[in-house]
Formats: sequence, C-alpha cells, structure tokens
Amino acid sequence: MSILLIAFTLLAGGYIGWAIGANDAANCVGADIGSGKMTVKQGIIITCFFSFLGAILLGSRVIKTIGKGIVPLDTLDPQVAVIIALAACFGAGTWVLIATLRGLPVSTSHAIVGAVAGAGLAFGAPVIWKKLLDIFICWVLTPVGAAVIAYILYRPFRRIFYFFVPRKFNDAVIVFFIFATSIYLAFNWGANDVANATGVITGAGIMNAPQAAVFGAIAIIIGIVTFGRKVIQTVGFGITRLAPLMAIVAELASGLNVNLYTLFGIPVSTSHSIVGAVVGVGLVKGIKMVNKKMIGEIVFAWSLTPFASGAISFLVVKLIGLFVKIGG
Amino acid sequence: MKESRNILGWLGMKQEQLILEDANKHVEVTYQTVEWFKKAIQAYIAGDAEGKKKAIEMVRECERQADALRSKMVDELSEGLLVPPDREDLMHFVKSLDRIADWTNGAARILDFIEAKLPQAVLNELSVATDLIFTSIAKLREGIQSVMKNDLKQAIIDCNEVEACESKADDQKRVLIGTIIKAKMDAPTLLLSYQLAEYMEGVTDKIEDAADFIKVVAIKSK
Repeated sequence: MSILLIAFTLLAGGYIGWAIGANDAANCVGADIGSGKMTVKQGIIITCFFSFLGAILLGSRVIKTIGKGIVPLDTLDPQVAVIIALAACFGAGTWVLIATLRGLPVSTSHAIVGAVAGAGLAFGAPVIWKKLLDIFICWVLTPVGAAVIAYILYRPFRRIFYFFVPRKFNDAVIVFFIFATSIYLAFNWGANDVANATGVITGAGIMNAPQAAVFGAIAIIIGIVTFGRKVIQTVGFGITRLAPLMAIVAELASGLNVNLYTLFGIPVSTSHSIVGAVVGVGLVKGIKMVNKKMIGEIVFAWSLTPFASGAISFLVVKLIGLFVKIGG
Repeated sequence: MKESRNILGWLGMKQEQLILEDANKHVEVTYQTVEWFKKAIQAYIAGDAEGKKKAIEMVRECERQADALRSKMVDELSEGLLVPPDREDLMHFVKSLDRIADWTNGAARILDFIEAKLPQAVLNELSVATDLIFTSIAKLREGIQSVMKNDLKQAIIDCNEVEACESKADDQKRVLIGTIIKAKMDAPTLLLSYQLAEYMEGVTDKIEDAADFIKVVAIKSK
C-alpha cells in the first residue's frame, strides 16, 4: 500500500513539475523572443538548462520550506507524512489542471502552499501559521517589489547603456544582456519553483532534497519540451511588445526579486514577479498595461488558489481516511 | 477564444476579450444604424416625410456613436505593453465594423436627397434590398455573440449566412438597377436612385468583410 502511495505521490509531483515547465517557461524568455533577439529554440535550451541548474544548486531552500516549514512532515508518522504529501500534490495538481482548462492565471506556488496546509489541517497536524503569514506577506510583496525594482532600474540602466556603449556595439550588447538576464531569470525560476513539485516529497522522506531537486527539474524540462514551446510561441510572438531594453530590465528585476525570496526559502510566484516587473517598466514610460477589471480578476484567481487547492487536499485526506487506516 | 493560464498570455487574451466586448457594443450600434436606415426606407415608401427625416437623423447619430467606439477600440489595441495575439485581425475587424456604419450613413444621405416619390416597382425592390441588409447585420450580430460565448462552430455558421446574404444582395442590386433603368424618372432622381442601390449593396459588402474577420478570429481560436 505504501509503495502505491509513494508512486502516486511521485506521479502527482511529476505532474506539477510538468505543468510548471509547460506554463511558466514563457515568463523567462517570452519577451526576448518577442523582441526578435532570441529564437524559440534558444529560449527552450536556456530555460531547460538553467532552470535545471537553479533547481539543483539553489532549490533546496524552498524545498525545505514546503516540505517542513508549513507542516513539519518530518516529525509526523511516515505513513501520515506520505498521505499528506500525496493529498497536497493531488490538491495542487487538480487545481492547476482546473485553472489550465479554465484559462485562469493561477500560481503553482500558491496552490502547493494552500494544499499542504489543507492536508495538514485535515489530519490535525501542526500547521505553522506564522510561516504561512510570512509567505502570504511575501506573495503580496512579490509583484510590488518587482515593479519597484524595475521602475528604479530602468532609467539609470538606459542612461548608462547609451552613455557607455558605442552605437555600433548596441545590438551586440543588447543581445548579451538579453541572454544574460533570461539565463538569470530561468535559474531563479528553477530554484524557486522546483519546490512546488518536490517539497512535500522531500518532507515525507520519499527522497532527499538533492534527489528531489533533480526529479523536479527533469519534470520541469519535460514540461518545457513537450508543451512549453507552444506557450512560449504564443507569448513571444503574439503578446509581449517590450522593447529589448525594457525586456532586459523586466527580467533582471524579476530575477533579482525571485532570487531574494529564494535565498530566504520563500515560495513565491515567478509569474507575478515578471508581471510586476513589466508593469514597473511600463510605468516609467507612462504606458497603461492592465485595467482595473483585469487586476480584479488576477487578484481573485490569486486569492482563490490556496483556498481551492487546500480544500481539495483536505477532502482527499478525508477520502483516503475512509479506506485506509492511518497512523496505526 | 483561446485561453491561457500563463499570466502574460492571459493578460493579452483578456484584452482580446475586452475588445470583443466593445466590438459587441459596436455591433449593437451598427445594428441600430441599419435598423434606423430600414425605418427611413419604410417611412419613405409610406410617404412619411417627417418619419424619414427623423430616422435619417438617427442614422447619423448612431454613426457618430459607432465612430466614437471605433476610436476607443483602436486606442485600446494600440496602447499597452501586453497586447492580444490577434490584434491585427481585431484592428481590421474594428475598421470593418466602422465601414458598415459609414456606408449605411452614406446610403441614408442619398435617401435624404430623394424627394420625389419613386415608381412602385423600384420601391418594392428597395424594400427587398433593405431586408437583406437587415438580415445580414442580424446574422453578423449573432456571429459575434457566438464568438463571445466560445461557440466557434455557430460563429462560422452565422458568418456563412452573412456571406449567403451578400450573394443575394449582389443579385438584388442587379435587379434593382434593372428596375431603376426601366422606370421613368428625371435625371437627378435616376442618378440618386442608382447611387442608393450602389450604397445599399456596399453595406452588405462591408457586413461580409466584418464577418470574414470574425471567421478569422474563430478559426484561429480553434
């Protein structure tokens, strides 16, 4: 029975990793491809390689938070921990699937955090509310922080660029920065988001953090290669209209922002970070990007996610409890 | 309409949806423009000069509203950092909607100049042509509503019906011009009647152009 539970947990975690790769790789390279300085193939190679590096080199901090920081899975009965892990992965995965089918812009980070808390509550396991509050505050600060960083950086960056870079080297330097910032963002994306797929797997003791990071990173790469290309193309060619310097600053600001949270082991939404950064550079130029209605819907999807995934994982635990004698 | 969970994709597609909502309002106003034109023709056929004048004034008013909506939509499509993937198609669509109102207003302007009572045979054919325009715009409206409801199959069916109406309007123009030529009219009335026939067929042409863009959006969204 426990091998079955472990297999299902790994499957659900792998699905979350796949969904992250498929959906969010476009955040790292979409604007670069849209600016015409990077090809889709280059974008895919960069996101695969550097998200993998980010996951295995820096992913363990956020993995620990999701695996042990919200509900201390390592202190629970191993079977209980595995069931919580399975319910959390299933809850987050189901909600992400519903969101994908409905076209809702939800965050997998928010989904997994809510799902872990929901599953923990269903068992009466100790939920660390202080940590949850910290995470929630960071979620609010993620887009705001990225917008502020981008807003502050854009003008000086532009001035320095045109002051120091001779005109004939403009294009080459822009291409260099485009690649450098997307690599930096992909690295931080992998470092922060790999935990969404594997945090609970580590917490439940199924794998150690490095093994889980590799497992999650491979799932993310499969997501990028199988379905991410289509999303990257849609975002790159159809939607973003950022000038190269704006794309560079937006990615740099977003990368710095996510990097900061990753160092503190906080799972945040890289999607919200990149949108915040794009809004930030847009504000410098006085360009309206989103109207109130759109912001309202984003906030709604964002607020709903932890509760919805939490409710699903809560119900899954209760359902499993009907068929399996737990903790005995 | 395509939907995306990716936040950047979602923002662009959301904007596309908002533009389509405005397009729906634009179609409503365009529909009213054609509806008032139909009333103007009916009043003219009935010999109600006052009713004709009032209806023509309403055509002008609706055309002005359509113009304002067109400007708003073009602004929305051209500003912003994240834009809909189909923005070029939408821009053409918005312009094609505006042309419907423009041509209807043109037809109403010609009608305003016609003071003499036209022969009954011409009036009968004018009435048939007006009904075709009205059916056409009603189908276009249904097509847009189908796209908004994500019923892409129905949207394409509606657009195909608009195309069929346009084909009938082409034939009707030939019949109407034949009737005008055979009718005994003074030179200015003959000229104005001929121009009116041209404009009326032009309106169905423009409706068909708009339907073509709805088809493009529907097919790309599949």
